Amino acid sequence: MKRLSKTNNTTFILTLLFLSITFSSCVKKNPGPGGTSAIKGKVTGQDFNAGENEIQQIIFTGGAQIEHGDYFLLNEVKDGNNYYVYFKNPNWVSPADPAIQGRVGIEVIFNYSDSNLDIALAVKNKLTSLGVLNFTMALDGDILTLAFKSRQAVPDPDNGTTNFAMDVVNQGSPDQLVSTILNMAEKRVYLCYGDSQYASEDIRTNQNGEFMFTGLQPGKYKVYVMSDNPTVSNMQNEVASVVQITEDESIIDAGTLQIYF
Amino acid sequence: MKKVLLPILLFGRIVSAQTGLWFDAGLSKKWNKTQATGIDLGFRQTLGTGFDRLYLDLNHSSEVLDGLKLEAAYRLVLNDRGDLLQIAPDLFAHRYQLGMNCSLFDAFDIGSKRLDLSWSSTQQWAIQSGERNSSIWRNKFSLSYDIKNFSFTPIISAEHFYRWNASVSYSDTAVFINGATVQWRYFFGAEIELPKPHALRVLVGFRERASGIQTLARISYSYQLPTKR
Repeated sequence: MKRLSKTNNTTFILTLLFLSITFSSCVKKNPGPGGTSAIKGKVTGQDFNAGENEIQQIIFTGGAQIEHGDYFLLNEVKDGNNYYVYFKNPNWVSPADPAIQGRVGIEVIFNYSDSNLDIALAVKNKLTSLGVLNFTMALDGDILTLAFKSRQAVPDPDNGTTNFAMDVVNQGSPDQLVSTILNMAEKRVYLCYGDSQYASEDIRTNQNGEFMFTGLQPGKYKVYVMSDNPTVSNMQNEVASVVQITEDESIIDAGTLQIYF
Repeated sequence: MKKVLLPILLFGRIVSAQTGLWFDAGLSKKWNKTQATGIDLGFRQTLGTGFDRLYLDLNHSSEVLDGLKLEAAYRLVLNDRGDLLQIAPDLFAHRYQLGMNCSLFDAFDIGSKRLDLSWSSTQQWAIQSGERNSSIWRNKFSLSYDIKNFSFTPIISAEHFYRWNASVSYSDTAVFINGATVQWRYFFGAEIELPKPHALRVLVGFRERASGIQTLARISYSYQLPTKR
């Protein structure tokens, strides 16, 4: 081969320069697919069974069906204390308080002429006067509904010596959290690119609860799974991990995402 | 009769469906004996499917030794979306090539001047949003013979595509990138001799990829701008 004389390579060098400039300006890519990096992680979970809030109802009778000294029982009313509510007719001179041991007594004044609505309202007002209770109250006619604020099993109310009707509309139960931490197989894991609020892809974990998103560009990502919300029934919230891929051909560990299920 | 008809019908069916129709039109300029620049506009379509791609190609070649050219090229490509032509940022790709073309008979002063056997070896990089960068090494052998007093110059070529990053696999701690042959491309056809500044090539062929074999038809026209004397 002969070397060509007077070869002018300036144009060729300029072409190479142009290519390298355009290449370097175009080579930057956003977080997302098309790369060679990966994000791995694991999903573990604890079995969580949300409890129930207890709801009780009391249906009152009129004053004509109540005797001086009659009482009924309410449990877990305030500060973990059990109460009894007794009725006092001001026309009677004998003591009305049955003085039940281990309980706090509440006195409600009544007359034989009081209607069932009057009795219901009087009991409600007396309970309200105690301050912050373990339940909220709603009065509908002669039906007083007590909705307990925390999820727990409350001992049932008892009508004592009255003819009131007592009903447990919803049986309360406490939350149950199993201490064993399990690897979550077949759990869906979501991936958000950059600062996006919405998932762009998702995969499922393997039998060991592990996952891997592959083919990613360098950049910021958020990995998340959905978990049962332990404080609000039938609600879910995300358990997330934000990771940064800084270079190609790297595998970033998003760590363990622990959920309730 | 069946032995002849069946292959013909089969070939006809293969050719009519999914055939790639490639059209190129370009301008080229020879700055001097060694330097040449070209700009090409290309349009590709697949019969029975739809739009494939549209591109603008800028290339430059420099003959550094007798029969040996260095080549560089940039191509801006608009790819299809669902076989439709749409303009969207993620459909544009950038392709860069650096390579050489060696006209073997010229380089070693052997054989007839009408016969040309050339080997081109090109490294190609392509970038597209949302797609993995590709790095491909292309090697092409082409043979042509300029028949005396005949307006057609037959051409035949074969090209091999080796992608350095054909497959990416992952272990728990490492990424493995492996290369593989991703395509073979074959063409045969002719360059039709037109009045001097014009050139026209008509080629047919096929390419073999993992997705299957696709027949191709390519028509390339180029116009060479006059060189200052």
